[in-house]
Amino acid sequence: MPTILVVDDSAVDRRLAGGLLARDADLAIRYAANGLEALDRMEEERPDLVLTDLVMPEMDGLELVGAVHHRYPGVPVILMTSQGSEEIAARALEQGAASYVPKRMLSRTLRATVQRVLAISGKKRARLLECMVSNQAAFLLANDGALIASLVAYLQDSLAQMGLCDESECMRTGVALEEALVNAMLHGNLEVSSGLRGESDEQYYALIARRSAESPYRDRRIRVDARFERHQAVFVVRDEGPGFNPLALPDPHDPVALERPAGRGILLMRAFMDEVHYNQIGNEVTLVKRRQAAKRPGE
Amino acid sequence: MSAPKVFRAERDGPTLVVTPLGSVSSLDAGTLQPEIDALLREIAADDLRSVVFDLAEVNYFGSLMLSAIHSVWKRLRPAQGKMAQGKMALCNVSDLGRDILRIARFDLLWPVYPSRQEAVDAVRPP
Repeated sequence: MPTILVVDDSAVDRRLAGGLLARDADLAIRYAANGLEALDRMEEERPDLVLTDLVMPEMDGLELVGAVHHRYPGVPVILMTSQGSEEIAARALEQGAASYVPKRMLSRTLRATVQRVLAISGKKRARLLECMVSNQAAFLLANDGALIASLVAYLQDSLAQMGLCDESECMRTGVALEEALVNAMLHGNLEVSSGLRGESDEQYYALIARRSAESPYRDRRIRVDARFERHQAVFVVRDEGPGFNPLALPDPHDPVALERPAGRGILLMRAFMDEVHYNQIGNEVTLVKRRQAAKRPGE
Repeated sequence: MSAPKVFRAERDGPTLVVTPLGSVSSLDAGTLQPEIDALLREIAADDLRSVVFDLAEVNYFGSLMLSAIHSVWKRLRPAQGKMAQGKMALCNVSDLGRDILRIARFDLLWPVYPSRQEAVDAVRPP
């Protein structure tokens, strides 16, 4: 039976929302009076969904959304909003809230919204995803750092959904993917040498800014193909630059190279992925992440 | 300059404490470089000799963040006319962050302390 944690500093509003949800016999309702108390409750018993007011003492709804997203990424949060707080609700959605329900429409929309969010998250979704045998996605990105960050988050979610790795390994894989994408953008498409980074930061960033705005560099794209299977995920990142020789990178064990920042990205890629291969001209890299073996108790 | 998006800089006596606020990869050069410049200007203007990077607010980071930290470290290196090399340390580094520093071999350059106070104490000028 799914558990819903209702968080509101008003006892009347808590009971109102909880009472509406309790009409569904298959929901268990828990309560907390503010964000801090909610987090304490979640340590004792993890709910399947959090329904929270926005304005509360100690920790408000927006902060609670962030905290739950960080500590319990699989638990969706729905906000109850008062009139005039739509802008804050939009920010909360950007920070990871699953949905919001205006308080004046609680009786009409709350139950349906909760059921919808439960259906696409939590245990029901986990059961469905256990049935997935493969998943593919392809992206064509402009040279935009914000897109890279969003794509890495998406790919990490997909890894987690396929059960290929735990949270820790997902973070490591995210680091490797980010390095591959940033390399494709800066060194591939924009042809900004990492060697310049060690000589003059000012010139390095000035060149990035200049080439991001001029042809042909700004018109180049990064192609990302991701294939998720039961036993592994394969990512292919291709830029439209002239390529490079990965064997020509400085030896990280060379004391001189130690004092330069160049080449660290590929070190991280090789450390965090099971396989890393470049094509002949060096503008395409294939990264493979294999399913993590299940840890024994105590590990 | 508008409110910092990448680094929060505070002074703890003679030590500059820099707290990265999140990932740098999502930012463009137009956002990142001015903030790095601001840090370097503050170090130069007050001839600061000690810097601590507090990584409490980033769970992990990549080569862009490492490069930014490296830029500050380079500024503290002995330059012509300066008497002594500055000191830099990191603190509140997550387990994954320590792995990243070790793989990138920057653990050989920058000492890591479990708390901000220990790091500040370690780099404080005599």
